[in-house]
Amino acid sequence: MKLFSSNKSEEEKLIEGCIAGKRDMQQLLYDLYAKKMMMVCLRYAPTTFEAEDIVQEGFVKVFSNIQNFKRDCPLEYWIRKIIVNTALKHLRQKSLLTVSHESEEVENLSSGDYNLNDYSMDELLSIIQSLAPRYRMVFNLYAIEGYNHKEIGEMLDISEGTSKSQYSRARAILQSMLVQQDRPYKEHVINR
Amino acid sequence: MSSTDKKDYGELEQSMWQRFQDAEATPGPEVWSRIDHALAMQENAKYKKRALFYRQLAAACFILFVLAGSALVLHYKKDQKDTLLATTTQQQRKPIVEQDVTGNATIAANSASTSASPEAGNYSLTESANNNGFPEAGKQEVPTIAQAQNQNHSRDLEERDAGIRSGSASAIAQQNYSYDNADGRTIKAERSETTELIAGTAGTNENTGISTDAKAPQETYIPATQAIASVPDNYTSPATINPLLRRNAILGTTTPEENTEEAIAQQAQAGLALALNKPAESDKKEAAVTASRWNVGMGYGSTYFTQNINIPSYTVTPHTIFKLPSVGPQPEPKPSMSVDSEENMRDARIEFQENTQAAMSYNVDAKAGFRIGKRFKLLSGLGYSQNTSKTRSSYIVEQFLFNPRTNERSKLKPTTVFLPSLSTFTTDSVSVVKTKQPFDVDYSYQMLSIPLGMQVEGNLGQNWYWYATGSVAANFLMQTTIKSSLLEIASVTYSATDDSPFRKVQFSGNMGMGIGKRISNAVNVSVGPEYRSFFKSMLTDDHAIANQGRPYTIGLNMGVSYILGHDGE
Repeated sequence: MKLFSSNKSEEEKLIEGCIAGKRDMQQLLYDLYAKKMMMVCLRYAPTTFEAEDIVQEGFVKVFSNIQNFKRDCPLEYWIRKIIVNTALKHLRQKSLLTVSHESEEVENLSSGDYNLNDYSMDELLSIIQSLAPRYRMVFNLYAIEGYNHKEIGEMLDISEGTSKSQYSRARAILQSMLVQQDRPYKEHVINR
Repeated sequence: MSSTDKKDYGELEQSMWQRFQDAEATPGPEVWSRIDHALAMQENAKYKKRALFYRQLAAACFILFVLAGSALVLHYKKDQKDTLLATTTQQQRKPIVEQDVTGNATIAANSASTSASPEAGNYSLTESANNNGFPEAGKQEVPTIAQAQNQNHSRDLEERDAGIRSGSASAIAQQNYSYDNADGRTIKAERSETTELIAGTAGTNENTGISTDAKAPQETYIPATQAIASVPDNYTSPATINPLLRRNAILGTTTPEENTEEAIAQQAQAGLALALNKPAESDKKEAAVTASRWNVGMGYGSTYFTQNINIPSYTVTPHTIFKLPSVGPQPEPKPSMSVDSEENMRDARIEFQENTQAAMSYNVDAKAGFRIGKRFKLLSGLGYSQNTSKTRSSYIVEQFLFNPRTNERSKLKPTTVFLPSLSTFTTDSVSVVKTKQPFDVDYSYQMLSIPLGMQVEGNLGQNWYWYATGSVAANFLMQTTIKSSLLEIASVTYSATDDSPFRKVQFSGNMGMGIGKRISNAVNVSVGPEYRSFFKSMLTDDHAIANQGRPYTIGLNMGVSYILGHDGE
């Protein structure tokens, strides 16, 4: 409890410093959350360069609007929300959210067992990034960020049903990719 | 997450969430440098905006300082001139008083001796004239009237006597002129005395049996008397016309020795000018100015209008994952908006606050003025103004309405972020989209004004004047137009009778100052800065959700006025 209070006080000082426009405080805040936010961006952006662009744009927005932070949720959630919105905006601007590119066939996908712990973070990331942009968005927003389909529909300007169906496809594709990547590994272990 | 979705939330999702929830990846070291640079740019933009304001303020102060300085310098010069004039007149007054005493004595002697010895009286008068610093006034100083007399009566000796009398009369007349400048009221009495003296002298000639030709001089004296009488009270003294006299007045009293022939000739010329009744130009103008109290005028002002409208920071609450549990009465249903749109809406509002600037506006007015005293003028009339502000925007707002009967979703015409932000949304859902290219939004407010004010004026020179004016005005909003350069955004126009978020009637305070020129007795032109501040915000109280500023205009006003009852010369 004491530690929590202390952290809260530190965080409050950090916020006050950022509101005052103190650059050292802003850098401290950036150092504190940049790594986590970079991972969020990597899940949405197709490349590392674009992820860094989103991080940059997102943090500029954070510092510009930090006086509007109501303290009704943890600061990390607030920053993450801004970063996610920035990512969506970035992809929308690049017209990557159009459905026309996403006519992936979900039939004949391989099925089987897989264990996510067998995959490194880079492997998981590359699997997610290989999804079509719309599927990637829906999957990230639903499975990792925790939005429901109605909210996702509003965020992506699609209906709730579309969100559900796109998530189902994304999930199936992802499972298939995980199985395919996991199989050589298992076959290698059995052969040994 | 809603419970209906939980069935999809299986092992894959759990595992993914666990793996990615606290996962980290280090961004490149240059990312912070770029953020730092972007923040510095933002601060610079704010600084530039602030610097621009201070530059404008400094420019306005400079203009005011220059105008005030010019007015002071000119006023000081005028005061100096008045002081010099007063000194000159005072210095001149001393010897004149002495002359006057001597003159009276002479007159008395003359009157006393008239019946007994008219000749002696005439000589005495001539002598007194000589004693008064006009040594040759009786014999050699030749005013026009005396010359005329000499021409008429040059044949006999008595005519010469008459000429002497005429010269004496001229000398007295000149004394009275000088005295006239010192004290106008006393002078009138002196004038009558002088006139009597002249008449008495002429009568003496008649009594002494001078030939009928001797009556001619009496007729010759009359114009001189009339000339004296017709001299205005505020006539500029000969000393101001004659630089030598002025110099003497400054140095001390004029001694008879100093009166050279040249000085006498100049003084005679000044006297001649007086006799011909040519008042100074400024007196003429002053008389013209005081002649009429009413004037009419027109003005045109080129201004910059700052509308000072602020958009509230809360309009629509988007759906987020950080919802607080609702306690108490449920709020009014709000239109749905995606987080993306909410983000855009926030950006659009920030953009509106930052990019809304004053734009070129104008006002014209027709006023009637009534002069109160010499300096003040009451003004009222009718004015029309078109006040414009401008925003450079990159966002459009689309609103959707759901019709439950037809089960269709209809889309309203897109708008800018400005109008929807002034009131709560009445639509079901709102979408805010960023455009590829920024576009301009113009806000135009056309107003009719009825001003009532007071103007104070003062002379800066012969033809120039300064003025300062203050007034209040009732402003009636006739039409409001919000027009975008983007074709897909419809223009919005509110007439005076439409229900609009803008205040229909409001009052303003106007202040102005400047300089003017009298291009003729009847026509004046003026120019100067003008500032107008409205007493309330542009928005009605119902729509002024955010903190609203008061709109104001600052600009340059040019006017022309015509004084009624003048021939325009």
